[in-house]
Amino acid sequence: MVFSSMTFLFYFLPIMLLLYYVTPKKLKNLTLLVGSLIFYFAGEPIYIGLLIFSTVVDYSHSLVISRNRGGVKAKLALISSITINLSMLIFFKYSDFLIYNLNRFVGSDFKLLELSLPIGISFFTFQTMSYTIDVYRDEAKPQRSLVDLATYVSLFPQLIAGPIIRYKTIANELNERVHSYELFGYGVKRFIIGLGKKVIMANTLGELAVTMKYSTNPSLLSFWLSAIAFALQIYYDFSGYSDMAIGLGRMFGFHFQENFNYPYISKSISEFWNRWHMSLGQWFKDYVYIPLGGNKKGKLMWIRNIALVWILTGFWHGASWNFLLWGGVLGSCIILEKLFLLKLLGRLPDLISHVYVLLIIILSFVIFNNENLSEISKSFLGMFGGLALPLMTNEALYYGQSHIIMLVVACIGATPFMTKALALLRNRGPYKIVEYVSLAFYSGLFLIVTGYLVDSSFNPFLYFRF
Amino acid sequence: MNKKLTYIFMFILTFVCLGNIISEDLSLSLSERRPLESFPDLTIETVLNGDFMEDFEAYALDQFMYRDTFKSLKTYVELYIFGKNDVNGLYVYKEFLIKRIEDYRENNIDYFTNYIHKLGDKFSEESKIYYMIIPDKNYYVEDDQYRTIDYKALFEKINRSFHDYRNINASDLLTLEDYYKTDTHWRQESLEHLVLEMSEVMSIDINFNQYEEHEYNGFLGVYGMQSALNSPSESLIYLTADSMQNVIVTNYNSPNSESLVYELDKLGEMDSYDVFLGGASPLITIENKNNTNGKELIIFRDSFGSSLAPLLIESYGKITLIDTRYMPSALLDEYMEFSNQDVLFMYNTEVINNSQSLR
Repeated sequence: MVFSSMTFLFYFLPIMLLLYYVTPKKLKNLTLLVGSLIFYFAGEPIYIGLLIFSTVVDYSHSLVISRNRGGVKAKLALISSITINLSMLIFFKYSDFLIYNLNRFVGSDFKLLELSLPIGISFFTFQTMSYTIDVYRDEAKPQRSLVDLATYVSLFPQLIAGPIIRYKTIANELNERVHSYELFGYGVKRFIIGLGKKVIMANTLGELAVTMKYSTNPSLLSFWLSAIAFALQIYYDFSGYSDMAIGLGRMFGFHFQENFNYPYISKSISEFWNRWHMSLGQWFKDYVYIPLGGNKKGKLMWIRNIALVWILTGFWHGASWNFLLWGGVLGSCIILEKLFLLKLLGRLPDLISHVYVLLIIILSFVIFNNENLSEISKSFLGMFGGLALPLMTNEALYYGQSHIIMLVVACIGATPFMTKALALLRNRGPYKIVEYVSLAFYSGLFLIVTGYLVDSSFNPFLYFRF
Repeated sequence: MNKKLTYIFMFILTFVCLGNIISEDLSLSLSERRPLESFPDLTIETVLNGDFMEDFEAYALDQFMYRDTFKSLKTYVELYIFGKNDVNGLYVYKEFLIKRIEDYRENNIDYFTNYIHKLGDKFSEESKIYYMIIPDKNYYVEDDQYRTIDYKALFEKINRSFHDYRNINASDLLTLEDYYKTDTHWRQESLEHLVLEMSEVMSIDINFNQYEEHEYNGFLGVYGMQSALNSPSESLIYLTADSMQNVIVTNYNSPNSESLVYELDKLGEMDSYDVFLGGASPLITIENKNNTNGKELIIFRDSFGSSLAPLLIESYGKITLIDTRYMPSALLDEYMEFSNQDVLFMYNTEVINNSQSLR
């Protein structure tokens, strides 16, 4: 079930909210757990066992760790937990990729398993691993209640597409959380904004990206329109989903960490990745980069650590060479920045830094969006005049003009401009008027989104495949 | 503010949830011309294989309260806030709703001309063969951004290919105003110039003044229904004459029941344009007992032919209308004889651009 579906919005959510708020405090987690399992079951009936298995594994292993703190048993339990989680992830997500490439390069003839990818497996395995590791490091207390831990793992607002919530950040709220109109209303705002970003912006931009990508009259303009539209689509798609998750979390009394912070205003690729999918970046930093020594063990090890993190980041996004290449390109940019590029960019006007970031990010998403090398090279050649195409065609002009307002709004919306302007209005404008305008805006936006959903034929969610 | 927003949000969720549950399911969408989803089968098997939830989402989308109003809301936002040129391919030009053609498919033009030649070759050399290319509404739009078909090249290519056949040049005899605002088709009552041209080219005698107009005011064409723009309905006029009185219409969609030149019970149904000869059909014959000249006309056509054919019947003893989008041309020998009849190929440019649908 996705948030931007009728089933979720107008059946699951109202019933879930009603049941949750009429449930006595002691049983709220159980209600959330049952609701979350139904939510997962609705989209992934068979693999729900996997989610429960992962929870039980980390519940039991973390108890062993806490009872044998500092001992060999604790270490073995940690290794066992990580091995089970990673094996699960590798088996379901990467086995066909590994078999295919083994057959290709070694000449073997193993059959592909052709397993469907359990929804959200990359997110919930990372969460459960972080829980056990944090317990091992004594940064989190082990959860004695299986229901509470299962509630954390399966919590439906963040279950299938993040943000990757660390157990220690919501451990207190699992036992004791506040519910108020203030929190709920804030949650509603974030949820509606996220819904609008996903349904109105991302879906429309996605349609433009696809239409231009498969244009029968390709031109330089069509290739660039497709690349820019996709870069904006993936931002609005994923950040919209994160907004919805954070908003829903707030409605149920949880504070989830932010996942995006206007990445497109960055002046370097390093900064971009501190602003994009922040919960994943933080995860790799805490559980891979720093344990490997970070930047403390000399330049070579530092470069190795960055490279490894970025290859893993690429691979996390999908079992395909283009994701590895994508991670490799971004990792290389970050290494070059750490070595000398940042200093160089610092001496140049900001505009050049922005152009550099946008260009690299748009091109990197071209790699991200094309599964094989021939498609990637075709897109690059198309963008840079290597296919002897016209500069523009009537078709590209038509679609460009038809989407120009959407593109401008999308570009402005990807900066803090709107947020700042609204904050200024809230602080300086007449309170009552601002309040009624805000209420009308959020209510109107919710109805418009509903209209888009009713008339939807294009409603993919990009991060589901991870 | 947050308290008020909480109440509003919960009100909308609850109202829509209950409204959807309580309201009666509809079986048909007039605007989309399709049946709507009904509640899916709920069994252990459908739940476990995921079919139930997938079907339930389709059901929830179809059976949504005020569905058409929400669709209109989206259309207005896309057109008037985001300034999109079209919504789902439909755009408005001088109050006319027009479907933008996605791309010009030159291969299909070749397919079309080859296809027509194969049909034309079936007739004897004495047959007089005519062709008429009917422009879609985009042809009359004086704004290049909407134009994807190179009409000049299309007409030239077809004229070159059909140099053995006689051309009835419809494009110069029609204007945008001769089409319905909310539909793809031309207006029957606006075909005077075209019919007079046909009289001349085909050496037949038609008096356009003989027709009596009958008006139906509730016509909303297929684009009007699809666009969700709340377009006002318009008039549909059909023409009758004494010469149409004693004709026998046989529609191979319903060969056992009596068919009519104008199926008036279609007015107000899903597509009122079906009033002309009952709408889409692979094969229709119109026999005119009043005419004993022995002349027969075979029309290979799309839906534009339904409103034109009644105006030609007084000049022929029999008219056969064939739409090979609905029957393979290989089967034609079973239903008709190819001899020295007059033959008219009449297709609109949208069908020609998608001519693979001709079988």
